[in-house]
Amino acid sequence: MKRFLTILAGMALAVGSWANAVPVNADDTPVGYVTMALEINTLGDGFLYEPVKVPCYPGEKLSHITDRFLGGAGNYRAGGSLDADFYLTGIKLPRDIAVNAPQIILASTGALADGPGKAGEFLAAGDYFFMAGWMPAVNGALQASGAAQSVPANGDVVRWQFSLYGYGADLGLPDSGWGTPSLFAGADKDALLAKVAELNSAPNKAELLSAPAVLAAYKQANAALTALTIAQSGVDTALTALTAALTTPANPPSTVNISAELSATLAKLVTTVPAPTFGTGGGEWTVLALARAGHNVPSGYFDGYYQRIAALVGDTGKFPNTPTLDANKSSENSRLILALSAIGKDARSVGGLNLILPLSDFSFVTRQGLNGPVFALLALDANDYAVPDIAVLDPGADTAKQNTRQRMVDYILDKETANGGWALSGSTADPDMTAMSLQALAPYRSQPEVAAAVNRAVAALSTLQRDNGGFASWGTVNAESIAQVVVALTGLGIDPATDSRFVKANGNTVSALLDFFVPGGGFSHTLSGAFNNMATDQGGYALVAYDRLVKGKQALFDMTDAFESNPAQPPVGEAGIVIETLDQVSATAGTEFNLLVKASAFPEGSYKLMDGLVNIPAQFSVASVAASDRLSGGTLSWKQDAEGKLRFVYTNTDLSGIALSGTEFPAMLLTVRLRVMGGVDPLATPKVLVSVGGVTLKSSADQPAFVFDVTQAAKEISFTPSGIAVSAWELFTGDGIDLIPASKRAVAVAFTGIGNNVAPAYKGNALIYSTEFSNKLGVSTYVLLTTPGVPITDLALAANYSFPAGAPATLRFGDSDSNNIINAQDALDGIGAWLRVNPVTTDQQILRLNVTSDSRINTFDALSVMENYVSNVEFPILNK
Amino acid sequence: MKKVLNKRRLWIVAAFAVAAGVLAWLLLGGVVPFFTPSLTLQSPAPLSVGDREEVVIDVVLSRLPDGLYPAASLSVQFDPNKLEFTGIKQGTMMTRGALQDGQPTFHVPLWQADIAVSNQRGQVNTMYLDTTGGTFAYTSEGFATGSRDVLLRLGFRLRDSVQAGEIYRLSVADAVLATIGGSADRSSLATSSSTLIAYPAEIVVK
Repeated sequence: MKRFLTILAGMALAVGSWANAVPVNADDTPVGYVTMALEINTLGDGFLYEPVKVPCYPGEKLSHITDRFLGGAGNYRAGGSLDADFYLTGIKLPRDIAVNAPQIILASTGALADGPGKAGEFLAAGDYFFMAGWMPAVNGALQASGAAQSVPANGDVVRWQFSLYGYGADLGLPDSGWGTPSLFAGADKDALLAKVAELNSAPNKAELLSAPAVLAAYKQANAALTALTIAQSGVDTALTALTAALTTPANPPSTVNISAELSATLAKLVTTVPAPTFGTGGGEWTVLALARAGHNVPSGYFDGYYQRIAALVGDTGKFPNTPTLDANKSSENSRLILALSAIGKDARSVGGLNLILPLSDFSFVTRQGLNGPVFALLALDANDYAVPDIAVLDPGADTAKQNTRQRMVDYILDKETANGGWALSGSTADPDMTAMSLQALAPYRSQPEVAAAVNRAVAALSTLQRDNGGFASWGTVNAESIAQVVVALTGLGIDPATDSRFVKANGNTVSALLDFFVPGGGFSHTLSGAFNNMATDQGGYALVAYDRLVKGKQALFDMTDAFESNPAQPPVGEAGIVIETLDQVSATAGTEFNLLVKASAFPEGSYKLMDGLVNIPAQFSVASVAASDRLSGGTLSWKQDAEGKLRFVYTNTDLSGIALSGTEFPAMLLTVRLRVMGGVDPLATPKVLVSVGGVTLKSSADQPAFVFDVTQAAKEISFTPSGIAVSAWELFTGDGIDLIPASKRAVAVAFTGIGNNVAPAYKGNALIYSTEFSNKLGVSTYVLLTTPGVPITDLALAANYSFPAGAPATLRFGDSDSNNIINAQDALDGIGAWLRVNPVTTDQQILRLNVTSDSRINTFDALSVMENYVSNVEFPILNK
Repeated sequence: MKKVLNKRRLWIVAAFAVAAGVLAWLLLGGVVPFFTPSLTLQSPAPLSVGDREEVVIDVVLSRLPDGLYPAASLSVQFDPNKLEFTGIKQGTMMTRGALQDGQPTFHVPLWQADIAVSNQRGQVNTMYLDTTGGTFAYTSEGFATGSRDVLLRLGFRLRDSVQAGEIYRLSVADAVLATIGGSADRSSLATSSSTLIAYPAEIVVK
């Protein structure tokens, strides 16, 4: 049958396949774009290549466009040639696939045969079912002719689909003409596919998807596109939602900056809970906060926790081989399920036990009252866990006790107080129980009764809120109550800092929570209290919840993202190259300076080689090129060719992987030292352009390269007519709050064309030599504290400087005690300064201490010193 | 003759007194490291060339003067071609913790380190930092010779390039137990100011 298919296809393609190839010249201008996708919805596993916009050139055939879309011949097999008889016979799987064919197809094919499923294997004609094969549909119609006969037009939608049955009969498209009637009438998905392709191809895709509404609509659209038999109404709804989300202005950014408090609290959690174990304190809530924040915990931190939990339920553990952790409180299981899910561990298999099982018993779950179903719903929805069959837990159990999500939702709704909200006891809503119930009900608002109850509860919380934005339980305003409200509101997509319902006369919910922040990290229970472990856990994960809302991430308790495999490498355009260098240099021959090549992101994956090209103007030669110490696994080779282009390769002789360490971006890749050639006339050539022509990462010869976006990697450099060139830029300006007066402004000044052993002064004020800036930029660079009123343009004028001979004062950022060593003493000196124990009276002290280059000296600087010392993270001031 | 003998005796006694005074000054001033606190990296038992189990190096402090030490750091150099740094382990020295029922608690902190960066540069830079400036500081209450004197532990593993008979040195490039303002008043214990002495370890491959 496979042979029959091939012969039949060949006969069809043989007719009219006389057109000559239309070569695509890279200089040709596209006539437009086609939407193209490659789908295996018949196998129940969505897109192999997601929809994108692919440029098409004059007269270009579908076969050529497809070749480019798929990344070249290594990724597919085909009969014929691109210019004649092209017939796609197999696709190299870019990922593992999970086959789950829809029943409507299985009814015709019967059980499918075994087939390819692993990344790298080819999914080919005849796999899984003898009729299977790849078929293109253009604008909703299967193509009777081959791809080499089709010339798409701008705006066409091309769907390559894997058909299992009837040579396209299972694709829901009009009769392909192969003789087998369609199994069903499918929805028209072209418009939705085009809209998704438009978003996927947008250079600011990540930014668009950072808006929660857009992300939700995007997910809905993809779900509709990959549902083989979805009704037209579902497709139309998804298209409307996505269009609306993309045209609706995004929510304004939050006005409360919690980054310092969040960072300090997470660090404090690690310090105070070095080895979390099962329990409410020093246990699950700590793990949840750190994991959902994506905090950089010590190596083995989460694994160690998981191993301790597995041992707990092991043969000799506290709960030997039993999934029920407390006879009366199902919340013990629920809490543990939440923490495990947060670290990406499936709670259905922990030391061989299914910790979800006890939640299948409704009577057990409700034994402890409202808390039971609230936490059970949170736990089950953390990773879309199905409620197990109670018979698995207890074969003799009364089936009337079978728990379901709906039973728990109805139970919670039944406990609503008369005026809205929920109470742990009594008839008056309290903020804690109301907030936790809202957290549990958030995913169920599509039910009208739930939506109404949620609205009433949100109104009740607004009424309960104090004037300073806080909440009280049993008469006491406390951090935990506020924290629960923050989590609830963020779970509903409500900004607790800016939503008018939660902004009161003297504060909002987030600012009220921050009132309990303990300097150095953590929270107190009451305003007058000291550091408290429970308040720190809850305050910590509340800040995480808020941070996730602001950044458009999934809600705190939606932990399905913790189970996603490593994100696919960012497509071209999401990892870019930028360059940094001086604005102007001296035209004097021999002047040298550095050009810094940086990456805005670095894709995950196993790469063996990085290469690239930098366009160097004829006015410069390349003196040297050095790889960043964040790159490892290779050595750098480079050469400047006859055209002046710098070509470089970073790889090694044994083809082991290269890597980029650290998490800070943009990340330095290369330092290119440039030298001014002789004969440069600044009047004739006042400025030149340096640009990066391309940078790629390669993993193997048969895999497409990862291509960095270099559209932003260009910079003009001016030549100064005089021998001295000055570049100046601001580092920071004080705000008068923490140790840096508002009258102080720090600037950096780089010179080319000055000799050694000079001590520059700006209008009589001596500059301080910065070794770090000088090494980075390759020219003598100094720092100066001046006043905000001095314009940068004035600081960039060589005429405003004097250059007396002598050794200038020097400083090293972060080296507060001036012993040329960065260590814990320097970090502590920053804290001592912020605590007003160590006085800060000199400009040098300000410059040394404010390594984060913001307007203050505070604990953030101490943390930056720690990161620099431990992980070699460059001080932010050096990236200004 | 008697007069000469008495004069000589006086000179001898005076010389001894001066020498004793100088010695006392040197010792108590920390110039001679007799009373100066020390940090010792404890060498493990010799390893066989095929041993790939993690070996843990205790970093032992000899004594901790009274005071609050909210921050501490340690830089240890090693040969990354022969040894793999596997991570920091908790020691036994304790810091203060949060008050519980009005009583101070103590716990053993876990220092921060970056395994990848350490192996890349052949130097472990590890730090403990109490960002409150003292609430969670090291104090003499959390120290006891013999039972609570291990500041932290360093994990290493032999790489495949090791050869029998080689010795790998773990040397301290810098160490400090810092007090607020301690660099000015010399209350910090720091190798850079000779108020702390550091002793290296050796990993012997038999």
